[in-house]
Amino acid sequence: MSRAAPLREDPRFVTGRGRYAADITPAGTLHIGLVTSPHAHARIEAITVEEALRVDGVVAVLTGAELAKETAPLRQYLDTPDIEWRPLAVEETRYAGEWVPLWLPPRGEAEDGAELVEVDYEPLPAILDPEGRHQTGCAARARRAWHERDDPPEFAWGDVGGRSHPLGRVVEGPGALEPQTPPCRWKTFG
Amino acid sequence: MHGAAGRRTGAVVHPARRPVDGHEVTTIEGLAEPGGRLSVVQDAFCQSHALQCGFCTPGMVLAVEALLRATPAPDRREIDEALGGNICRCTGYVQIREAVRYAAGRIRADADKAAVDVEAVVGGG
Repeated sequence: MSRAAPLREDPRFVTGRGRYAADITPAGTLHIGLVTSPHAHARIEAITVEEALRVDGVVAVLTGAELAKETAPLRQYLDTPDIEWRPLAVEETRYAGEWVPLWLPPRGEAEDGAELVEVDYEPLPAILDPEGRHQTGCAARARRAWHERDDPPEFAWGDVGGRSHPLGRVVEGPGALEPQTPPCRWKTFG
Repeated sequence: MHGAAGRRTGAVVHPARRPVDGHEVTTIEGLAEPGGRLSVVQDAFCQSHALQCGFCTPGMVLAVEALLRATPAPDRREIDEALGGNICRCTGYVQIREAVRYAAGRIRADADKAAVDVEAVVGGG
């Protein structure tokens, strides 16, 4: 931190030698296609999966409601206790591009065929201005988002160059700026 | 994404495994010199921090190679037009534009290839 360090990965990337999770496909790997919300804020009225399920080789379509029945919300890193953070939208979408259902098609169709999963939306009001806390009637479930609170957290620039980081913790050594993606195989014991 | 006859084309449009009517095809893997020295555009992307995860980089680099062959001194609009088919999700476009300007200046000033030995840096990949 705080010192210019050589970027060792750049030459690899500009010469076509980057390697990505999509390149690692052990036998039996399934690929997901994500159906994303075109609305910043909308109620999910219905999800129709029949046509998507008819595609040869499709394994399943999973909706946010189905996933929510089996899983707990994701860990929330912001102080917004009223907002449940889930991988797939449940009942409402809260930003454009939010993942709604996902489907497990044959690999070649994962990116292009997502529109076969039909989602009916009822658009709801949306805030387009990040400072738009005074706009009413939208994002009721997000009403306690931190930008609307009376005591929003403060962010300050620390003396990074002098290493007196406000957190008092310095991590040294080479690291990956982008996260790693490990391919895993589910194995059931017993 | 690769360049055909100095023009850029998409790998989806012209899969390189098929013959492209006698044209020379350059892919991202073939841009550096055999010894590993990066092309000016490749090096400019590194010098300008115009990449982060690198996923969009091959297409970006080849788009810029094709742009600079046709337009040695592109203006902002020409740069944006040339990159219009390429989407970056992490670095953003400011530094990519900087890389284009930097590469264009270097190509104009000196046609020499960049003095970065990719094999020494990457260690043979």
